[in-house]
Order: sequence, then C-alpha cells, then structure tokens
Amino acid sequence: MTFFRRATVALVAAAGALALAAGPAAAAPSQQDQEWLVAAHQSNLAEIAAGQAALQQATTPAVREHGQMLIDDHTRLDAALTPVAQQLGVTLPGEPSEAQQQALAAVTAQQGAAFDRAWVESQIAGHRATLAAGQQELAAGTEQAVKDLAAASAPVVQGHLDGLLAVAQELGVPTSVPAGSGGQAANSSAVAGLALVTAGVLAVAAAGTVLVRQRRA
Amino acid sequence: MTPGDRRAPSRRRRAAAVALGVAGVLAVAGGAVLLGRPPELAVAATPVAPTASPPAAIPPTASPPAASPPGTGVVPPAGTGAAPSAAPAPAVAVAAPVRLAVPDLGIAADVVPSGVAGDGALVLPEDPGVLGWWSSGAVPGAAAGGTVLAAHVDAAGFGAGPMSRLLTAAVGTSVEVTAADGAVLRYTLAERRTYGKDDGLPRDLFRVDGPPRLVLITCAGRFDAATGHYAQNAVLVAVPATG
Repeated sequence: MTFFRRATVALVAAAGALALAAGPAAAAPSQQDQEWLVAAHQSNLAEIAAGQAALQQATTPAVREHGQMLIDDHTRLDAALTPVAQQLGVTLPGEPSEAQQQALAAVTAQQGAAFDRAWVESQIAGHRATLAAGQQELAAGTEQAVKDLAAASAPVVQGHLDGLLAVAQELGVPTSVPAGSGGQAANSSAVAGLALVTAGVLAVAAAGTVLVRQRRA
Repeated sequence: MTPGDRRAPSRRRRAAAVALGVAGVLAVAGGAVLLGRPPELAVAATPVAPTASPPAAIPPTASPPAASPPGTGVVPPAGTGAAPSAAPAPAVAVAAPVRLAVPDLGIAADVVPSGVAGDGALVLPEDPGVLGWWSSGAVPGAAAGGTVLAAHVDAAGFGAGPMSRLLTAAVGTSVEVTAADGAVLRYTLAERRTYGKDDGLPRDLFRVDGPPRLVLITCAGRFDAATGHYAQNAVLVAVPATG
C-alpha cells in the first residue's frame, strides 16, 4: 500500500516536472503562489487528519463516510500538489497549521453525538476557508501550474462542503434559540400600575373628605 | 326658592364625590392587576403572504429557487446562467458574515460564528450587542439557503441590545450584512413571526437549500423574571434586495 502510494506520488511528480519543463521557463513563483501551495497542502493534511478522527470517533455513518471521502480526496489532491511545489522550490511544512491542529483537538475532545456535530461544524468552516483561499489564488496567482491546481481542487472542495452542509441539516440544526435573559427589553407594567394605584388612593381620599365634610355641614 | 333647590348643589357635589370614589377604587384595582402582570415584549406579526400557511410562508424572491440540492456540486450564482467551462468558475460566496447594519434604525453590530450545544440550543454571544451566525447554515450571498443570525434581545448585566429595536422595524426596512471578504449584501425585511418556546423552532428556518434569505432570531413575549426566560422567539425574515 505504502509502496503503491509512493509509486503513484513519484509518477505524478514526474508528470508534473515534465509538464513544467515542457512549458516556458518558469519564473520564481509569486508570494501568492507560494502561500497558496503551503496553505492548500496544510489544509489537505488537516482534512486527512480530520477524516481519520471521524473514522475513529464518529457515531453516525454519514460522518464516517464523509471522513473516508476527505481522506481519499485530499490524499489525491495533495499528491498532485506536492510535485508542483517541489518543482517550484517551495518547501512544504509537514503538519497542519497550529490553528488547524487546535481546531481538530477541540473536536476530538468531544464524545458521541457532540463529536459528530462539532466535526461537521469544524469541517464546514475549514472547507469554506479552503475555498476562499483557492478563489484568492485564482484571482491573484501568477504561476499557471499552481492556478491549475487551485482550479482542479475547487469542485472537489465545494462538493465536500455541500455534503457537509447536508449532514449538518440532519445533525446540527438548532432546535432552540435562548435569546434573552435580562428582561430589560420587556415593557414592565409596574410603573403604570403603581401610578394607577396612587391616583386611585388619592381619588378615594378626596371623595371621602368631600362626603365627610358634607355630612358635617 | 324651595329647600330642595338649596340642597341641589350639595347633592350634585355628593354625586361627584361618589363618582370620584368609585373611579378611585377602579383605578386601584386596575393598578393592582398591572402590578401583578409579568413584563412583556410584544411583537406584532406581519402576515405578508396571506394565502400561504404560516410555516411555509417564506416569501419567494426574484432569484431562482434552490438550484440544486446539497452534494451536487457548485451552485451557480443567481442570474448567471450556465458558466462557461473554459473560464474560471465565478467565485461562490464562502465568506462568513462579520457585521449587520440597519441604517434606518442606527443599528450596527458585530457578528461572530455560533455553534449548537448538546441540547440543540444555538449558543449566542453573552453580549446582546453581538450577533451569532449559525455557521453550519448559508453564508450571506450564497445562491441558496438561509443565513441565520441571532442575538439576545437583552441580558442580565448588559441591558437591551439592538435586536429589541429591530423588532419594531417596519416591513421593507433595509438590512445590510457585511461579509469577511468585504462584500455587502442588502436585504429587505419581509416578515415577522413569533413562535412559542414550548413548541420549538421549525427546521424550515435553517434550510440551506431554499431561496436565499436572511433569518434574524431573538426573544420576545412574556419575561419570567424567576427563570430569566422569555416565552417566545421572534423571527424576522429578510429577502435579498432587488435593484
């Protein structure tokens, strides 16, 4: 398996190198291209790790299936990305970003249904960030080989996001929104009530005084 | 002049005094009733589509309805038609909402992502001045689905927030949502509904595959000071502004 994957990666790398060599002499990749390659690679690593966490901890088949899909698709996307980065001399980190690692740790700290909900929530945010980064690369990137990678990954990531949103409809729709605890916005009738009681007491007292005076007269 | 004529003014005065006394007793009774009544935040419903049944009364918009169910790939933005395959696909909205403004009411509030707790409750920022966005729903500007923003109408230690003013907004009021990428999405307030807390909120409000809309949720109705809870949820539905 490992040998097979290595062989595949090597083949893809060779193909990428050939493609780059065949094209016009590649200038140094722009800052944007470099940043996207690093960010996209780290997102692949983060989503593969999240997929493995789902296989281990998820309680619903839908979340496990999405976990496996993330592992398969992001392994494939990364296998296409790595040789392009190598060819362009961009060093790729070996781990997801600190923020991605913390987000996954917060999710794996949950158990049962709470894990499933947190996993889907976290993956929706992660895939939206990945899509936004890809859009940025397509708009501002310069190296065609890198932009091609971003274009190729967009429909895969969008497909994941759509699937995750659908799973959230099954698992994570809010059933209540507790949205008020102070009571300051509510119109209290206490002031009006107190005013009415005071006016009433004064009126009764005035009427009583008049009647008593009349009887004495 | 007869003695009866002389007594007439005093009789009138007595009658007036008795009437005043009766009015006073009624005022005391009415005041006592008011004093015993719990505070309430009343919200008038705004039936916009009188023929539609209440749970399905989300007004249609000019945009095409749910272009495709989730899981089928990129949903093209409204009005673009089929995207040419050679050109890069048009950017699909993915940026989170970061700010809500209602210029007519002088409302401007930050928006942060919110999740769902184990009991199914949407976890909102404590400060009623900050809105929570249900981050597993649609982003503003998405081709389909509801962008759900919610905030406490008030909170102990903070006082009343902007949602208490938004509840009084007339249908047709403009609402603006700014996304993290700087895009400003404009909506028009279309409908106001209330739901008893005991019945829960309909799932329909959180759909990601219906027409695009902005759903604003807060609390209303009677406030129970003992439990610190309102009896109802107020829901405002706004649709993308046309033109």
